[in-house]
Amino acid sequence: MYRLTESLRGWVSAELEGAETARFLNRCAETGVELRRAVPADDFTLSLRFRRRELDAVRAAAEKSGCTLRLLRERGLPASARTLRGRYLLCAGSLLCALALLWASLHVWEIEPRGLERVGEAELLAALEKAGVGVGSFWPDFVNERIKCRVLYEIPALSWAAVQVRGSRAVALVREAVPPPEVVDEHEAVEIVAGKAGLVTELRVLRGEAAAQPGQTVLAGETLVSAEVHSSFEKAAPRRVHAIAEVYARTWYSLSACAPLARTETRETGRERLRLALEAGDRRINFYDSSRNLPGEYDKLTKTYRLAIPGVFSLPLALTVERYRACETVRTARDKAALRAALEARLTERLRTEIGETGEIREKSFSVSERDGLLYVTLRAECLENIARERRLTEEN
Amino acid sequence: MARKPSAAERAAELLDLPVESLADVPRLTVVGCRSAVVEQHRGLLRYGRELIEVAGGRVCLRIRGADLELRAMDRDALLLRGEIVSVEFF
Repeated sequence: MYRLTESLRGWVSAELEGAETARFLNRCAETGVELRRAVPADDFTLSLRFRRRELDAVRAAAEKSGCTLRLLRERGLPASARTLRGRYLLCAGSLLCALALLWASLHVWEIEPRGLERVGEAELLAALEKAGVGVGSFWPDFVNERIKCRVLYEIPALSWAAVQVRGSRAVALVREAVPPPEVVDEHEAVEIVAGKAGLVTELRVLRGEAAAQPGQTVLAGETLVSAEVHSSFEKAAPRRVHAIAEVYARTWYSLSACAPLARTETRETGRERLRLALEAGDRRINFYDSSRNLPGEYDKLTKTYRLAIPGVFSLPLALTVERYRACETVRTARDKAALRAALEARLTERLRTEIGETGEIREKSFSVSERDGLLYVTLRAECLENIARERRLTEEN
Repeated sequence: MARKPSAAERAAELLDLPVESLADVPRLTVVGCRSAVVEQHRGLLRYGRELIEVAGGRVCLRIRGADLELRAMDRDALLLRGEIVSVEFF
């Protein structure tokens, strides 16, 4: 702390030579000059340090004591300020930079959405723009309640929204609405039909009348469990119910997939071109002739360097470096065994999606063939799955 | 021969008052052997790395040591730092 205050006040380091150095010190004490670190180098030489403003008093004391004062070094804020005298452009530039930073820190230059799952980022940004939150907005004017109301009005799929500003970065926090579950109308007439063709193995009827039996082959759309339930009383009319049942059946699948036996690869030739561009807000300044296309094929790698301190603030200035690496295409043969394994895995995955979580693959086999430069893999499988599907009964039914 | 106390010193001792407030004597405070403060001094008589002499009115001090340096000094007090070996009164 002492060093900081000394630096702010400014200090001078000097050397005193004379026969009466003690007299000089006494004179300084009488006049109230505060000396720091008066160290005798020898009997006639003294090195000392004092405040810049006391220089005149120290010179006078040295003169009266018959000693010679030699200034060695001057440090501190006043000395630094003196070096800036006359450098008007530097001072003006520094002031301008400080003002620009202050102005920039009061505006939003980056928006980060968080909490999005089904709603798109572009949709949210458009809604925020309508709520007054966009790149370049003055963030002290933000009112969270107003922003929330506008965003929720624009995007009904959201249940909550808020904006937090950190430096020049706005974080848009959202929560998506949970869709209400489908309410089953217990009194609605619904029958159970076969979703796929198969051989029925088991029926678990909770409500309704079974219209199929184990061992029966059914086609897709056939009624498995009827919504009409007959009463045990003969004269009573049948009543309609919302049928609930699980019907397990053996089903057979034949799925195919193919892939080319050769593939096209790009290989870099070693030639590289560099293109630079400067982005200021929404504008882009290209430091190259954008009307000219590069001949041949190129891989483009783009890297953007933003003028920002991560997590603190960012300015609307970015340097974009585009690196174009020339490449040529080469056809190479693929490993058949690996290709076959990949296709088989993909077909198996597709089958599992078809039969659902409750389904079971009982048997499966693969067959492979080659034709016209393509590798064909066919999966034949027997599965056991729940084929029950609900179908609402209309007035005609 | 020991110095005789002055009338002011005797009066201060009798009245239980601080001696330095009445008598023309300096006050020396030594902290360990590295630091010394001399209050109510009348200036420096000699100043060197191994010897510093301070005038204190009726009593003068001679401080011997090594690497002695005057850290701060004003009209009433001075602060010395260094390796103090001995203090003499003359």
